[in-house]
Amino acid sequence: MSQSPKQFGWTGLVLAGLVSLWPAPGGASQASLGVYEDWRESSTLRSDRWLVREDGLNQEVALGLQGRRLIMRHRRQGQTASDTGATSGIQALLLTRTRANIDQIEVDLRVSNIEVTGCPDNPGSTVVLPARVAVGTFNDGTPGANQTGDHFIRVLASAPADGIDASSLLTVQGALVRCVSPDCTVSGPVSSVELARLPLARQFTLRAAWDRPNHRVLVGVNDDPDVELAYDPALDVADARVPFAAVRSEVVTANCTAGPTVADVQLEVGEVRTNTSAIVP
Amino acid sequence: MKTTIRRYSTLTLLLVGMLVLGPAPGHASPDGFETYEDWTASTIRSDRWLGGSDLGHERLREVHGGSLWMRYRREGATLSDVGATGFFSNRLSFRSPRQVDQMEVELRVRDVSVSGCLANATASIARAAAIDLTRISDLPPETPSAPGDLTGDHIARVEVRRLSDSTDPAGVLTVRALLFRCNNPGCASNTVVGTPIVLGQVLTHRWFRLRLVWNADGDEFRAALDDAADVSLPYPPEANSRPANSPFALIRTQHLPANCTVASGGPTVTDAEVEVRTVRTNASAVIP
Repeated sequence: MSQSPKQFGWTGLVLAGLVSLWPAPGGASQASLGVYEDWRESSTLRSDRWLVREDGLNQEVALGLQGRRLIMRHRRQGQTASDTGATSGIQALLLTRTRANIDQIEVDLRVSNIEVTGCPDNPGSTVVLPARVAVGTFNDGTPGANQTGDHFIRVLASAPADGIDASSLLTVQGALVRCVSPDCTVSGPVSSVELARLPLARQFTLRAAWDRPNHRVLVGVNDDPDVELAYDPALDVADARVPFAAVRSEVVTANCTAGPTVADVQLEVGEVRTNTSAIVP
Repeated sequence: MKTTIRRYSTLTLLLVGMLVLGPAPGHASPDGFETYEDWTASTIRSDRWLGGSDLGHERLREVHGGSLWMRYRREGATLSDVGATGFFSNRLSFRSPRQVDQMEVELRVRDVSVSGCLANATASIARAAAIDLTRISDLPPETPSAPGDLTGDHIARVEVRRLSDSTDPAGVLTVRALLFRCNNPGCASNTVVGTPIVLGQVLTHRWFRLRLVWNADGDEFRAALDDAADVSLPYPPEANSRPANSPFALIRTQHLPANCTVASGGPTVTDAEVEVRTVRTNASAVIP
């Protein structure tokens, strides 16, 4: 787990300039949270609450309910024609009917299996991003009708690249991210902060909230205080053109002539809580 | 020792039978079938297969105990009681479809459920399994096509399906073969070439084989269920003006859930789980 001086410097700048530890303001965001899903009412996914999307190229997928958890597993083996480049596979669990109405989300998660085998001649590119919780916010007024200029909150747990062991940690980062392509497949952080490093097998909770009146987003992990990421009020020109809220995982495999790389993850999604106005009874 | 004798006897009987009867009619092909996949690896091999699926709900593509399990579940939309939003699928594609001239897939349907909507004349369709082969296009060779554009491509298919308005006993699915031309890039609009042919019916939990062969010299695809003789899906020679723009060979589970408002009892449900055992192709397509 190495980080370049440039990365440290950038992170430090963000920490100094934009971030302050911020307890949930009077519990404002927490108090209004309710249970959106606890997987108790149905043995299958409810289409009025959820839609599943698979992107990229996975070989194996398994997504379904087991008891009171949703299991999301997917696996990719890399290609062997070169030692440059990488390909990803994504599974996303989208909150459906009330997606324009979601400004707070909190999700209980656990990584129940993970496998990462990288490539010595193409290092750093084989990685598992087991869990990402994201909520759309505003558009900055970029002309057009597509997602360019949409901003979203991202709380992302990522595993070390190229290989893991029992002592490996998940790194959790919170960010406010701007879409820079029409379909938002390309995006970049406006601000970000490292929130925590967590043991791989332990259950954890990721949290994101948009406090629009105060021009900030709040991100958090477990019972840690929320962390504030403030933004320039002038950026909030309109609602995001494509509102969304989602839980997703991603596997990325480097190309490798020595043999296929592997990225495989099984994520358990437990209770999902949102602002009560978004709950689908 | 008794077991050994019995085995020899069975083998002898089989050999004699094969010599007397010869190859089953319709099995003839330039290089015959070879095993492309028998799922002996514990995971899906990336050099042989590509996976993918559409928006939906539960899904599965995993190797379990020497076979591939595939499941796809999709509930219908609840905004109206008219029509359906479209077909959605979970699929496993051959890595090099241009090499696949013929395929035979051993399958069994583990479970299927499909519900319709009383207020909607459109029936829901659960295609528990389908094998597709896309090799030809009727567009003139000089006509440019964007990558992935299926317009003009022809899809030959053998499908195992059950409709929500089926009067068949529970657990019975119908096997059909058909050839259709894609009329737009995504193939949501298409035209059936000739008439779909019913090959028979299968039961859940029972193994069966689907076969699809491209006979380029004969301007036809050929399809069959189990050991039945192949049936022909002919096409006019001009349908093969050039190779398909977006060739594919794949195994899929695909559904069309009818729209149904909550007031009418919606959403409808389409769900199927299948098990895939041996997959055979022409020898030149096999990846060791």
